[in-house]
Amino acid sequence: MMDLSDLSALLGEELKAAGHTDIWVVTGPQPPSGAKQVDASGLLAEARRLADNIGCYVHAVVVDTTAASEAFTFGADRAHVVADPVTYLLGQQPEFVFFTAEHGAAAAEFAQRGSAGLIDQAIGPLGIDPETRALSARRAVYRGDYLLDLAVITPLKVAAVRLDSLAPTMPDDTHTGEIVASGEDEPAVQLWHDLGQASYRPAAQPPLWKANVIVAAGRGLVDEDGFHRAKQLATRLGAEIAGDRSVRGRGWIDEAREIGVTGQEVSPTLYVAAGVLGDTVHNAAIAGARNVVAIHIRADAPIFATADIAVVGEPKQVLAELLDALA
Amino acid sequence: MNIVVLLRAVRDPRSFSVNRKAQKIFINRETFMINPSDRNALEVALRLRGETGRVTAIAAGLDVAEDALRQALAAGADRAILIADHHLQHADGAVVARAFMRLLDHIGSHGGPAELVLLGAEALDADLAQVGPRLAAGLSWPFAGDCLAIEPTDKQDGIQVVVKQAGDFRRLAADLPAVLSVARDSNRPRYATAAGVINAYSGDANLERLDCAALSFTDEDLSPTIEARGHTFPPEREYGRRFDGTAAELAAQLKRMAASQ
Repeated sequence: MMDLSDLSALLGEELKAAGHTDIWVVTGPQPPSGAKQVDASGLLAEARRLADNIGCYVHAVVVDTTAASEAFTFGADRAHVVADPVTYLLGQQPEFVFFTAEHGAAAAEFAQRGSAGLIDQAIGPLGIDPETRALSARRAVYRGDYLLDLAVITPLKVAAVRLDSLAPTMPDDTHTGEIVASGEDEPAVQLWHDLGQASYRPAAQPPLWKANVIVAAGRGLVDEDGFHRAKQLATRLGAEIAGDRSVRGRGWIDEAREIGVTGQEVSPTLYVAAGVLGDTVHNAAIAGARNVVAIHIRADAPIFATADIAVVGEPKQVLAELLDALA
Repeated sequence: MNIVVLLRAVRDPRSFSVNRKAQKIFINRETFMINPSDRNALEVALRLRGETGRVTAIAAGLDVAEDALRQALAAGADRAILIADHHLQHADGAVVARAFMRLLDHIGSHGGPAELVLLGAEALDADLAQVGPRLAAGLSWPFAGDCLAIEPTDKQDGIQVVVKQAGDFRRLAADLPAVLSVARDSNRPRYATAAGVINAYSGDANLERLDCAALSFTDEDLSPTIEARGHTFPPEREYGRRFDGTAAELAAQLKRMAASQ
């Protein structure tokens, strides 16, 4: 099938005004003072890959010229140094705009003002259909139980992409681009006044079954010193400390922190079992855990049957090395 | 303070199981609940209400959304308004934000405008965390996401919140009206009282049902911006894989897994 636009393309006419079909990557807005800029190199590389597929340019919207020259090495063709990315972009008529997931609220504001569809917390790889020009990505629901396959079908398409879902890339120092100075725009009007640092402590200690990360100690830690290392690891990871039946018998933990059918059943994102042998009642109680990392000296320890990562080694020694690596 | 809370009914995670091998979701029971962080938002509203304030719970959808509103009434909300439309049950963020914007207009012209709009910081089952910032952008109100603590300013003319920014806690203040999203588990939601439950499910509960026509919400307003193309499942778990990298690699992996949701 050939329609009029194909014909005009054959005749060498411009299909659309340049710039209106490009991919724009927003690496800002400026983070609060003292914080480091989000490293959006993976997102720029992803935009480059898509742009090469559909044949268009990659524009980077950055906060300063250093970020601009860095953006070129990751595949941007043009960089726009602006203070208020959302307002600036609305004046540019882009087709695809990628934010990082950290700036999901800015992405939603832009999508709303530009009457666009948005995939928030999008998981790569992203896709652009060359025919319909729909932008597709995935999004995790129910804390990662499964993913929704979504496609944005509005003329302007926006995604706020999770950077941890994109493959890491190496910079290409030979790739260069052009800095489009936007002419010092005004920063966005700040509706919030910063009243300074706040001391915040959760009103109540959440129960163990709600914990996101748990480090569990077992008999394999041998002595109090081994248990102390497990506690240190918990602090480093922002985790709750727990244990199995055997360590409760030794008085290292109390009933509220015992994992097992006689104690608590848990479903954290990460469960580190240090020196836990893993009997049936213990393994049943952690069936809901998303990632289990087990450290035990015995290669045939039952805990390894439920572990995603099996570290066979002396738990005390492994913990000491881990603590060094995390320091 | 006149507070509006957006509620969403989600499928109870305990009522279904995901089989990665069969690439299927098995629904065992048709049970729904209020989206967890929306319950935290409702709790904030009930605490901030004060003597003369009013908490209005709003939701869009059909039976399950209505049930969520009745639970909110039972927990202490003053009134509830449902946009009864089955399209809105599964609508995307842009459409839902548009519908609630229309409803906020309606509330403004029937009993005083909302001064504060609260919602949960995450929607368990859909890409709807964007509704908060979208509403704020549409109304030109300030928005703050993932608020841990919310209280009125000393002179009672604004709102101040505690949010986590780049690893430390900051206190921010803005004028009302504002839209805030409340972090999950930032407070302990109250339980409904027995009398509250009976009243919420009785005939004279203060629950208003509006359809799209009443809000002059047309088919064009309902046209989707996102197309759902099905589900994908994470790879099947492989147990007992022996790790033989260095301690630094293991540490990096632990950090990554601890940070993932």
